[in-house]
Amino acid sequence: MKKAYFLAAFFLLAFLLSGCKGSGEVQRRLVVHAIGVDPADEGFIVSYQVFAGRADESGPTDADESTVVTLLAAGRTLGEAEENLRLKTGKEVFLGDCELILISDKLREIGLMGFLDYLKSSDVYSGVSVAYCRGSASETVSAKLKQGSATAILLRGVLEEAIMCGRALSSRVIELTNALEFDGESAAVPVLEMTLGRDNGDGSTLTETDIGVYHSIIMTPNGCGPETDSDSAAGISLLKGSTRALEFLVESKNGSADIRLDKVRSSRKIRIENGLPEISINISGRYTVRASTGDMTDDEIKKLSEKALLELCSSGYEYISSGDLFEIKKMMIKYEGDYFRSKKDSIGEIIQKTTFNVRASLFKY
Amino acid sequence: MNPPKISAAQLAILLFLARLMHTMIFRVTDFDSGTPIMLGLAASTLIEALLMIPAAAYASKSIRGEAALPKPVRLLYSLYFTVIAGGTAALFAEFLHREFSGTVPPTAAIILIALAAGYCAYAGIEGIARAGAVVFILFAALFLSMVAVSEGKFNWLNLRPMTRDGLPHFSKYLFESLSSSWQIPMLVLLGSKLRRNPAGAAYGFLALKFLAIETLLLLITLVLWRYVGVLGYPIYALGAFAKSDFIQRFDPINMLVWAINCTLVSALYICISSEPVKSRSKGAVIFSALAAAFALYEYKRGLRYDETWFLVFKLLGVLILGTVVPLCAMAINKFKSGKGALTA
Amino acid sequence: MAENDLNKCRIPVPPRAEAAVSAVKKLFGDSADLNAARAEVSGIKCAVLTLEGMVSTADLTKILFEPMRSYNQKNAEPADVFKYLGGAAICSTETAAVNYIDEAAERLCSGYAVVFIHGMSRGLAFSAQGFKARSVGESDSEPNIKGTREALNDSLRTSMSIIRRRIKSPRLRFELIRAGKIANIELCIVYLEGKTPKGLVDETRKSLEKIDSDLVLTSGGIIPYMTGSSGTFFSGVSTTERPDVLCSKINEGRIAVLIDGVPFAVTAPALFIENFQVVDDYAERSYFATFQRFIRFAAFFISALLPGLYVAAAVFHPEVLSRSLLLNLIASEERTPYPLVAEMIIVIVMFEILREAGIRLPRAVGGAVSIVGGLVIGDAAVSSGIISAPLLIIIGITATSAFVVPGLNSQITILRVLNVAAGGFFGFFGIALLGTAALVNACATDSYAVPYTAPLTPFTLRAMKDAVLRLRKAERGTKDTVESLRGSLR
Repeated sequence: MKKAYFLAAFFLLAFLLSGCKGSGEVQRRLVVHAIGVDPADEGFIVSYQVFAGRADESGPTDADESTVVTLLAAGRTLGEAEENLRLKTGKEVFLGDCELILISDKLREIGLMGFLDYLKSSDVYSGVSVAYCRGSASETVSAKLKQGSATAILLRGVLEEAIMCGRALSSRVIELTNALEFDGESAAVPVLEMTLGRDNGDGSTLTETDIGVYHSIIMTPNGCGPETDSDSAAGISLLKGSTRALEFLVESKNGSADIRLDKVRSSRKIRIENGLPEISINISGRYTVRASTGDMTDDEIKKLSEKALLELCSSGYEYISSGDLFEIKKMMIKYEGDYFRSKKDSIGEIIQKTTFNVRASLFKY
Repeated sequence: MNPPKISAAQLAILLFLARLMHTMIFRVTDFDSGTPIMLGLAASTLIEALLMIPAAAYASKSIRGEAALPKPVRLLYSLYFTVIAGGTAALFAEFLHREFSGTVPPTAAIILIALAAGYCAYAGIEGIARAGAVVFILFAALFLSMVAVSEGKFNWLNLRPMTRDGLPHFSKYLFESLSSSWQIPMLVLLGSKLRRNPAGAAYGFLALKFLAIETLLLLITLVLWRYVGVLGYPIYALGAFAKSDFIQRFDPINMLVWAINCTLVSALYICISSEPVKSRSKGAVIFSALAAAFALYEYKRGLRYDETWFLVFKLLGVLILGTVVPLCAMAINKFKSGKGALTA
Repeated sequence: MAENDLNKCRIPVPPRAEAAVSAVKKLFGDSADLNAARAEVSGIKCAVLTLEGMVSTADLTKILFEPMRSYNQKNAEPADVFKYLGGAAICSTETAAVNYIDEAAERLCSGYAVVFIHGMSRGLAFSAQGFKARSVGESDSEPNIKGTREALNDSLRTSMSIIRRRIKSPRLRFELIRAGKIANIELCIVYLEGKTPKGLVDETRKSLEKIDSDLVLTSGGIIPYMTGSSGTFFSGVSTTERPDVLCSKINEGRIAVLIDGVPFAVTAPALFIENFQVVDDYAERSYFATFQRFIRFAAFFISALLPGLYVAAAVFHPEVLSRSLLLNLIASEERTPYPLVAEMIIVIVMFEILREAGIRLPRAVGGAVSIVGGLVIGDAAVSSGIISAPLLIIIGITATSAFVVPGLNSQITILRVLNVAAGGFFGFFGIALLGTAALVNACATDSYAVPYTAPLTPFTLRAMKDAVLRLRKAERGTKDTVESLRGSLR
């Protein structure tokens, strides 16, 4: 009996020490699906796409246009804005389900480091994507698009498809932090752009909005670099060896073909040639002709596709001066350690003088 | 009543879980490169293999009933493992506080761990050893599922060759790893609970530890790279980049399995500490209370994983209790038996 | 010492038949069911004592009264009558001499007829049991599809015959002992010679001999004496009312104890794994049986853990839940007045009340309770907003899963409630601590020196063919015995 009393006392003690309950009820949490950041006079205006649904008898609930709303909160920092949102709604802000962080391109000049610091210390998933958006992030997060409301899932889907098609590079928190903060590399961050609907043929203009990724902004550890178009982003991805699939068009006097490239593999080797680094890249993959016009032969398509790849690479190479976009420093540390140590002080300049020797060999599926 | 006995495989798994628990609460703030740590672990494993020899030999004698430590020396072991149990609980509470601040306050966490571990220690070494195998399977399942749904990609450029720059990291980790090898004195004590084959248990544990931790370090280096420093706990970090449609995030699942292991390993420490006390229930109560008191004190004081006194204390324990004491005990026994033979 | 005391107060059978009858009546306190018939056999007065309803009157007439009447010998002495009745003339299955009054009383209680012959200081007891017993019926608690339809019976002898019919081997042993200070109930240890370790039989016998309770009315009356150590959450022995299960266990080198008046046999040692094995597994294809075993394992974990994990995830770790589940949960919880933990505990308690009512009430009414329960919980509670729909689904899955593993029902119920409390107050951390304590408790449980968790841990590969898996090999050859499991010290 004595033992039972002791045991009960211990449990009671532990229970009392727990402050009864450290966490709130689930309905007291404000589930954030996406965050948009815009500049303000002093600090930022942050748009939070949050869930505001109630159960009804019509079936299961999910984050769709009827259940998400965009709430705004301002603060000198993102942390302060979050705190303000909490005070405004009276709910605990839950960032664990956040799918996307959108930053207005007006904030490109201040770089990404501050945002990454906030994201690292919050509950946001390390694998969440960070992207810029053209114009107002608030408008993007709450836009009405052709295909429905710009829910976080839809926006993330648009971004992921661009990455899958090789037109943008992956820009997760973990990847950006490792590149910008720890390795001193640069990163190409995709830009989500909204455009008004095209003319529908009878002279009237559709009011719905389109969204897509057509550009990327190159971010360096020190701030912001130039902007690239999607071809250059695809070239950067190819030179970096991170492309897995790619879509492009090839044209000749005999016609044109829409090519889909998949199972892309890149092997990269670095060597020091004439005192400067030279990277040899072998790109291989299989291609599928999705649609074609005219009477192009297989051989012609293959050659044109390989040529197109080389052109993409050369357009990506134009950004060699925008910091270490291609992990050249890492390659030197791993394979040319002595050279790297001897040139440590001038490594930034050397990286800009790196040459690439690209070979592409494709086969038809 | 049959004497409690555990198998060599069970002991190897228990020692491995103890080591894994320690690796879990190993906190890094600056993960420069995985290579020096991986090499440090390899070097430490080699040294441990040598240090294990006297402990395994002593354990063999214990199985045959030819060795028994004097009570004051035995109490030294108890004290050592109570401190280790307290340190483990304190550092785990710190982990909970950092990563799951809303779940349970550290003070309550320490008391609850001590309670559960005390109960498990009371249940006896056999129960702990059998449960150890289940926890080992749980770990394997968790690890495989995390790897399967990891969103990370291998970047082989992260695996750099060892250079002179990495030497400080190498030596630091070697020291830390050696000071964490208190599984050697554990073998000395647990030898008497073993059915047979202490050498198999010792070297099985070393092989398991080497393979598992090296694999984990390799994965962390290839997938997470220096972001590990942001998350702090390397092995826990592996789950922070895993996601599936069914289980959205793996962090809490990871914590659940670590909490199970923490309780089990603390129970093991309390169990071996409380052996000099005749009543099993009294021993469990006394030593779990002592471990909780030490953990609370150290947590309030702000114990860090890499605190010098803690590292030195642990290393001294490994060398003295794991190597010197068994060597001396065997020498004394041999001398006594030689004298006995002469007298006869 | 106790034995000597008993001998001291033993009353020898007096030579006068009437005195013997009076002594027995006195011992029974003139109990109304004690019948005494007087007769003369060749001029010698005899008294035949029986207990109402314990003997078969027809049998008694045939085996005792008719021979008594037909015995006619001039100048017969009491010893002649005793010799005649105790000899070949009476065709009873068991005839025994009775020297003491309490011995006679004991025989009477077991359905014997006792004859006192005037002039003899000994009586004779004839086996003529004829009490009414329930006929052999189907098993209610362990139903199956392809196994036997017979269940063990309240009557010990019937149960013994049911077992014997399934193991027609002279190696099958039945060993009778008595238990209960007042009830003096017959227990029967059942085992297979050569398969069951002798130590196990001796240990069981010893533990049963230690029974010091007055009555043994259920299997629970002997289990504490068999399991010995206290503090184990899981039981080291199991019960069954199926003869096929019992025979299978005996064939694995285990021991069974039958109790007179109880249709359940207690078997030992018990293993955790056997809660997931059913007779139908052996009638199905091995791949299907293996699949079903996995389902049962899943059901066990679902029923014990799911409500706790759900509460812990919702309150402390919502990041674990998939987006749509989390949003549905939030939307549903917006309408409910109680915190999630309280809500969960309310539903669990309601479910347990309904379950208990379903068991205790007559079958016809039990069905009605289920309907009322389904309506009350399923519809009214959700539509009135007292309980959220996802929570009800969780409880529904949990409750259904619990029925899949009936052998562990009590443990599952308690674990479920504790997990909800631990998860509700301390999140996954609380569940981890509770889970570890339960796991170590199960692993530390030994049943007659065989680990309860064998062959899972300590792991015995050979036993896996009929543990988690049910391979075709399991049906062939000689069955492995429990003592061959790793970790067994027997």
